[in-house]
Amino acid sequence: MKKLTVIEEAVMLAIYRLKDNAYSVTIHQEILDMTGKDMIIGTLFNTLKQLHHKGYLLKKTGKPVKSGKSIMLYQISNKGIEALEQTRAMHSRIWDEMPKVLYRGG
Amino acid sequence: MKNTSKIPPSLATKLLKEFTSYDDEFNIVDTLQDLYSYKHETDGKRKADLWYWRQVLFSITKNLYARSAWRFVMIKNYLKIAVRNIKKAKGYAFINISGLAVGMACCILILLWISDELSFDRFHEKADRLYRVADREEYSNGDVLYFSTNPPNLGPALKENFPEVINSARYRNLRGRIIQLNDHVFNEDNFVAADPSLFKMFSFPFVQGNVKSALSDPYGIVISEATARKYFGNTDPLGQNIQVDNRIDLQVTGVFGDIPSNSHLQFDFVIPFESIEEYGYPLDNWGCYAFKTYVELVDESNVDVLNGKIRDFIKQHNETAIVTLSLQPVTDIHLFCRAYGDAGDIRTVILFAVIAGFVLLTACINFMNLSTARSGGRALEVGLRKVVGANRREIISQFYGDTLILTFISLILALALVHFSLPWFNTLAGKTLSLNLEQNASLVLILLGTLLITSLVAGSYPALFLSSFQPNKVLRGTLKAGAKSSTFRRTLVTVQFVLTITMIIGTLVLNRQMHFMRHFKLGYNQDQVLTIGLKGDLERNKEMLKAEFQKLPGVSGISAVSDLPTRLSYSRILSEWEGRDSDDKFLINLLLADHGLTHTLQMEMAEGRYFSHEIPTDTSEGIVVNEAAVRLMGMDSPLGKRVLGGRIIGVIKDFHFASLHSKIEPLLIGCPKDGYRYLMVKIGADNVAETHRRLQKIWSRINPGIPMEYEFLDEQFDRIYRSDLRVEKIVNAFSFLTLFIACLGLFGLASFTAEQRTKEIGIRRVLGASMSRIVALLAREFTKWVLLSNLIALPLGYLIMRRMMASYAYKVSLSWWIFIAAGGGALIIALITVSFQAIRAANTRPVDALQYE
Repeated sequence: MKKLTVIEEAVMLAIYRLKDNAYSVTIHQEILDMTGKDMIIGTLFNTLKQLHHKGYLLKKTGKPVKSGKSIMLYQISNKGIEALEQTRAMHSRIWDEMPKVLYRGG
Repeated sequence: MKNTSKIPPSLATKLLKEFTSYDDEFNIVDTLQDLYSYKHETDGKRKADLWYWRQVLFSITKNLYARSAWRFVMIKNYLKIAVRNIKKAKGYAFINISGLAVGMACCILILLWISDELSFDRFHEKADRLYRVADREEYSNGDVLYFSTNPPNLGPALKENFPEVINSARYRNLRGRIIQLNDHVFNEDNFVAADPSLFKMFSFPFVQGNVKSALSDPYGIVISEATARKYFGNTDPLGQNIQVDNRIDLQVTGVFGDIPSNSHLQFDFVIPFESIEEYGYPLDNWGCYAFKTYVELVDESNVDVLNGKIRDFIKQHNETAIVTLSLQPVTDIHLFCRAYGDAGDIRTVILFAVIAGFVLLTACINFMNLSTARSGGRALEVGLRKVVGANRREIISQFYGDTLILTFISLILALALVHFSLPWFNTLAGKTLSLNLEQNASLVLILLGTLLITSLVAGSYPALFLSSFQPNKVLRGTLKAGAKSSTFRRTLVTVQFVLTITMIIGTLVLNRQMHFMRHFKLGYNQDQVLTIGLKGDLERNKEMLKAEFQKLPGVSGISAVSDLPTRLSYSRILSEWEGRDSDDKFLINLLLADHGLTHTLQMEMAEGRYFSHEIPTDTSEGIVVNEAAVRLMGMDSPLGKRVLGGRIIGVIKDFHFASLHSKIEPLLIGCPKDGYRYLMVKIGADNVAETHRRLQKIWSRINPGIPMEYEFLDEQFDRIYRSDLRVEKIVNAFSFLTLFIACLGLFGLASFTAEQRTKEIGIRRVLGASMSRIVALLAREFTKWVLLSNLIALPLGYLIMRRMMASYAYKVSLSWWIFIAAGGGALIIALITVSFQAIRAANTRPVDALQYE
């Protein structure tokens, strides 16, 4: 069972949504748009590194930006898609078993 | 749109670059820069800056944590294992830690001592530009003498003639002054005359008064803080009057802070140099070598060039002079200018450094031995760690960490030991050392250095050896760690005992030498001779005093002299003699002594006669020389020859008037009317106290108000060898500790062997081996190695001691019994240590050893 943490999940989803234009700057902005969370760049880079290490992400050198440096584009691998789907399945299974309205404690 | 003019806070960027690292080209810095410019456009600069800072700081913490999180987990595990290992074998841990602690404590004490020795005169702000003028005398016979006193004209002349010299200061100790304040009388030795520039050149800050004007008044005097307290208590010392030698009234014009103990200049009273004529010294002169001269040079002046220029400076002013000048850095004076008495000696520093090294090495060897002996038990652990993925580097760092923990505990213990033994060590070494970590940065460095070196040396073998185990071999049980390393351990034990035996030899030889020197035939009898300093008017009243003393029943001899036979620097004069080759130029020691000298000190004449009351010309032109002087002057029949405007009337047998470090020098004895500074009184062995009381009574009748300053000659004699005695005592203490540590290690190793061979011993016992056979079995192994160390250490010790003894002009022979005693002693002590364990092993019941088989 391939589980993702909440942060990893958010990063993966952002990359999925960005399709061909997923690199560090856009990913950060996308997460901000999606969740309203101003992610720490250090955390983002660590997460990207770990996901790549696990084989969920593919890296590809993109075209150079204005400063002359080449950006690093990310893409989700098949293994990554699998992990995302399993995470969604787990989420929905858990949520399906929950009542529609949650009772508040005393 | 990106706007390049929007630059984020540069400090934050710098921090970020410093603490993060990513392989990609478009990295964390660029990303943040991009995001920053968006933020800047939407929210303005202030918000963007804040945001940037927050991002940077959190990124750094995240990054650091991600990098080291696993290490923390492992370190926790290593710590746990280390503690468990200590708990599992408390005895070994105790021997390990305490041995190392004692070794480190010794090392710290010695290092404290060494750093104090090396710190001499380095506290002056201008230390690297201050020099003392040193003289070199070359005699015609090839002897070379060095001294540091110069004519009074030299200092100002140097400053005038050489632009490199900015300042010069002359300095003369006028010891033995009588100082009167109201009704109190004090004898003061640290009384000096110096140029005011002394305070400008050296960092002796003033506490009260004006540095510039304090010494401009010829009747001003500046005193140290401690002296001000001693004389004036809480009242303001400035402007107070004191009287010197019953005749000169001086006014206190300044107070300087107490002189640190690591200064070669030590003084409590300073008077202006110009007033030195009042005390009987010439002020304008090129021939009186009595004044130390210090100079301050301009920055970056080339001392070698200047040395070349001043070399013959005195000769230019005084044709008869034979000295050549050179400059010596003040920071070298304490260690590199061998003056006798209390001064330091670089050779002692080196000797002590070697001893510190020996002690620490012995303790480290213990540590290594016990660690490797017990490494067999940890082989499995290493194997398992390797199987689950530890690489060699991690295992090495684990073992270094292990030793680091143990050495750290030892260091804490060692610091405690040093703390408690420091007062003892201070009395032994005659120092005022303190273990003040806050003020002494070099000490902290020394401690950390000791810690790291110890763990590196002690941890190397287990770390490098154990980490090389192959897991499959270890886990299958085919590798026996203990067996393989035993050769290594034996080698170490051998090294350890080589060090120990060498140190014992050194200690024995040094002790013998000290004994020899203290009981050397000096050529005179120093027993029961009281020396009394002549003060003030007394110089004139000396005849009266002598006559009165002579009447006392307990006094058997009395003589007035200019210098005591135990004083090491005599005044020297350039000598002329009949038949002298005009190229022969010598300064010869001169002693003034009246008629009673040979009788009081029981000296013998080789030829001729000593001064006599019956022949009045003796006082005006009689001269007695010693045998060394006759040899120097190359006279066949010295009697009646002219020397220095006098005539030789006798040759006295050579006697030692200096330390036994040097050979007997030529000496002239004259007997003029005055110029005497001491009385030597030979008193009978019985009723010493009564005689002494009567002497005192006569003194105070003739000199009311002046304290009688007296000392026995043999006490002074012992003081010459005080620094030798100190070295001897310190070497004694530390070589004993080395032996102790070595035996501690041997004890641990023996108990380990005995434990390993428990079953073997059990079986032997069952089969009928006697106790003594089993003890012999265990002892034999170690005895072999101690014997081998003897073979190495004895010649080594011989060579080292022969070199060390070369510094003594009169020395003991290195007799064979010293070596036998050192070797045999070490062997016996080792045997006792091992047998103790062996007997215990042999005493266990065989049933206990074998019941689990």
